Amino acid sequence: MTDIAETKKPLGTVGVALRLGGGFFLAIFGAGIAAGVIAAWREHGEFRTGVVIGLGLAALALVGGGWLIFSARGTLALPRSPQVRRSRIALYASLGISTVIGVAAGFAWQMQVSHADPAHGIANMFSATPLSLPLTLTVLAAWIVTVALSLYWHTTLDEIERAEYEFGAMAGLYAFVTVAPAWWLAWRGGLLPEPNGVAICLMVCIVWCVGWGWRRWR
Amino acid sequence: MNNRLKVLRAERNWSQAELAERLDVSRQAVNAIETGKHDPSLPLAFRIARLFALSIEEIFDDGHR
Repeated sequence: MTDIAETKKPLGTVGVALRLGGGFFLAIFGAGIAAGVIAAWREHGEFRTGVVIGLGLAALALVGGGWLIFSARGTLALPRSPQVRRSRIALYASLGISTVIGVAAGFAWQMQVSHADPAHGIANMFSATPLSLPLTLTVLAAWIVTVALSLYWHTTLDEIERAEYEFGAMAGLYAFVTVAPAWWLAWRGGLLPEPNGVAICLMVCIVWCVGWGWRRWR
Repeated sequence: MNNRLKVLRAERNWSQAELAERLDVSRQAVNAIETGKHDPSLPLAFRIARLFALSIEEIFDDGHR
């Protein structure tokens, strides 16, 4: 078979993930150094060599992080074909909105658990303890917006991408109809604790993602 | 199913992204069809055939000819 090289080799998924992950890590790292150095400078009031070195390191990390993120711009740019463009816009909007709502909900959650039970903040996420009304409404809004965006996104996918997601969804459905009744029966038989809906939902989502990923990169 | 998509694309000096744009699918979709991981639906097969001004049988081969 004839081996034909790509005329323009696009950046692979792993390459984009590494550049974006590395870029954001360096940017946050640089911002952290800068914040620490400036705080120490304000506290001690002396402009010493350490401050210069620290700010230089922070600048290097910020520039390096910015360059890494900028280098992935070609892959992240919006394509011109209408359907793929709509799909990409929906994906970026979903990521942006869910990040903003997620950070807001995370702060609200931490503020609530730090007052209620500081030692078990993460465990409280999966427990059945009562939540405050503002936090409940925030997380509910986040969930509804995310699902609505996800539904719209699915309508913009091409047939190959849709087949990948549907394979993952089928794997998730089989996981659900296996685990949920089995756990319920095991609970009735005294073998396991009471079924946890959130844990089952998370498990289904993980199986869905694994199924989708296997189908995409097999 | 075997296909000549990669050869036809190369003859026109198109990248996968350019072909994807002309077909209004993602680049990953073109890659999946070229590598035989996915057989296109009939509507997409017709779009591909029209783009290259060939019949579907001239592009795709199910091994029964």
